[in-house]
Amino acid sequence: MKHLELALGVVLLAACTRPAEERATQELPVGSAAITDASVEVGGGLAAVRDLTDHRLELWAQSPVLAINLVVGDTAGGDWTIIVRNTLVDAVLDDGGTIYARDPDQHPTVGIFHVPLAPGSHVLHVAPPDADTIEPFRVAAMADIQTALPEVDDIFEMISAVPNARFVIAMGDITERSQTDEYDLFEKQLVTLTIPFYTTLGNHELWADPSRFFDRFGRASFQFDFKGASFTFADSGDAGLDPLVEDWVVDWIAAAKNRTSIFLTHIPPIDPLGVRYGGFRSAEDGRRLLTRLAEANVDLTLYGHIHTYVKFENAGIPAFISGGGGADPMKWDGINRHFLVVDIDPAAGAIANVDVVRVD
Amino acid sequence: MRLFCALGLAILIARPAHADDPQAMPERVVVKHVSAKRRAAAVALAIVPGIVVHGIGAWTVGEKRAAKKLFVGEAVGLGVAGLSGLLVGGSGGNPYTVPAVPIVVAGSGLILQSWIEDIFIAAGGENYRGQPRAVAPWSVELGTSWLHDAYRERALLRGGGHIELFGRVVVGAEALVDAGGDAKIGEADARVRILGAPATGALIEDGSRLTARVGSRWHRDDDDRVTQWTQEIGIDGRLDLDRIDRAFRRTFIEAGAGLGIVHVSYGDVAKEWSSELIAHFAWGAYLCTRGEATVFYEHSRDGLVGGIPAWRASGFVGSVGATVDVRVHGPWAVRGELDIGNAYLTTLAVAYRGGPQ
Repeated sequence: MKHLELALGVVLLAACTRPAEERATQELPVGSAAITDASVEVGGGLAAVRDLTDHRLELWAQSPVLAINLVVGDTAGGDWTIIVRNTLVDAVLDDGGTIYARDPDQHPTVGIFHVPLAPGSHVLHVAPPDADTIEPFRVAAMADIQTALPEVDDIFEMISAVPNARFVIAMGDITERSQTDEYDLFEKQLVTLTIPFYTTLGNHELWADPSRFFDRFGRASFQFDFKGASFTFADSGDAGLDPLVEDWVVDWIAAAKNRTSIFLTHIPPIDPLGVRYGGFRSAEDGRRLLTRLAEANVDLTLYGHIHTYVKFENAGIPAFISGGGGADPMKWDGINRHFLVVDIDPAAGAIANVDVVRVD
Repeated sequence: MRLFCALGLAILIARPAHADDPQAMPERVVVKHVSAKRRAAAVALAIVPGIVVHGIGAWTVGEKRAAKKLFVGEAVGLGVAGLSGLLVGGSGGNPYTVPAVPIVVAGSGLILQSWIEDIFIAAGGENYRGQPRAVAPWSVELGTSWLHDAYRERALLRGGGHIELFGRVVVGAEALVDAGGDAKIGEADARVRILGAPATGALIEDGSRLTARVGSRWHRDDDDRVTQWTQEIGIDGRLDLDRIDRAFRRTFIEAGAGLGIVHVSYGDVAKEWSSELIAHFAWGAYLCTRGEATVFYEHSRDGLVGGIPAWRASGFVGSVGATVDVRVHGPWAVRGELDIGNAYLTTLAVAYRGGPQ
């Protein structure tokens, strides 16, 4: 009977040419919430609203820079506690020019701010002081943790020890089966990471309701700017981009055309080993996306999904597959767990360097 | 690998199962009398639990010898696909193991082909008449295709044909043009007959064949601003199943594998080389003396339809489809095809087949 259900499921999905359409529309309300006397909307959907209750707002950031539109009703004015998780170590909260420092003695990625808010509309910015300063900076990149969740803390410790790394950008597959206890464990392991972790989802986050990802971490397709560089993440969990996501991506990368631009997605549009077909389910769609990326002067593309390390070019854009988060590794490829260290030089409009760091 | 090649060649060279039994020639179909109730039960059983244990349908209608062979076919398919799949999957897709992918596809094909054959026999397929016809010495075809994918709808006009040269070579060409002018595809190939009947267009006793193919395809999509030029080389085989058992007569299986190199132009921005894997299988039946119908799987993602969005297997599987090719009046034939992958591609074409009618 299970075989029949599986076969039926496959047939029904095969009848659909947009398997990710519903998931794309699910992303749209991410970052918004309302209660009787207050509402919040995070610009670009760049944070998941984990809690909005009486004088309390808790967010999980998917960006080092947040613009929080908070509307405070007549009965909701007063002292608010705003908790921003997964934020940069030196991020502060700016309310119309008034800077609020975070509570001391918290985990480096947890910013707790106490902000007096009068009834009305407020635009709160959470960002480090140097967010708009165009200068070189460094990030780490990784993907495909999956079954290695129990021991990923040692990768996080090594990333935390990378000098001057500001945050981690990740290409998905943080869980094996998208189970709640896996997400719980992931968050527990993040305690060993002293910088934020911004990620899209992978195909393994689709084993269960993807809203588990959206509710905890925010959107899977999003873009943020930091220090003159743009980071564009796209949900390719079904081995392709939904047209809605592709439209977002095309607009985002076009807007970033004159900045240093980095594109991340889980599944490579075209597998560098073409005959393996580890890329999009349609090579034509993959090549169309690569054309758009190349035309928008994207400087670097980062992928996961294939559990190895590959440095290559796609459509003339430097590309890396880094599936070294610990998931069942490719055999006989000479590399196991690893992550990337990416040095970005926005003033030069370039990626200065990408190094691979071996963990095992 | 050598063992599989030797086995394949032995089957192709072998005489059909009925060759020494004049009573069993295809034209002398002995209709088995199976009640409608038993027939319906056989079909149902062939589907479930037959999807797991192949041969149940044939066994239910009394074709016990055929049932055993179907079960063996399934077991061999499972073994071949399982072992080669274990190699590819177990290595995490290491490039050194990728040559085993066509073997995974072939093994999977054997599993599905034996299942479909079981359903066919359960449904009384062995009682229908059918005889293969050799490839026509020449043919021209005009048709239209409708492409539906997540991004667009496209009507394509298509035209092509083939001609036999030098007794063993069939050269073909086809062009597809988007009615809106946004896409153009041109392809040409040459197939060299290694085994099988020459391209006379005549009715033949055995449609089994083995051909080597070289081809070239140019595909320009103005909307996508992508141009792909592909060079392919491959080998394709068809095996009439009455070589395996008389109960399988009028049906055949096909398999093929090959490689392609693709030169891609990304707008005016970049150019690069890629590669493609060709691996496919099909099951088919001859429709009287008029033509044939097939269901097929195509592993390549480089065509117009890409791969099926197959839930957790998305990205790992190719497309499926069905074809019907029937002579409707003399040399005039109609061909229909449905491909389902990342997109749907439906094709309807009218062909004029040269040679004996």
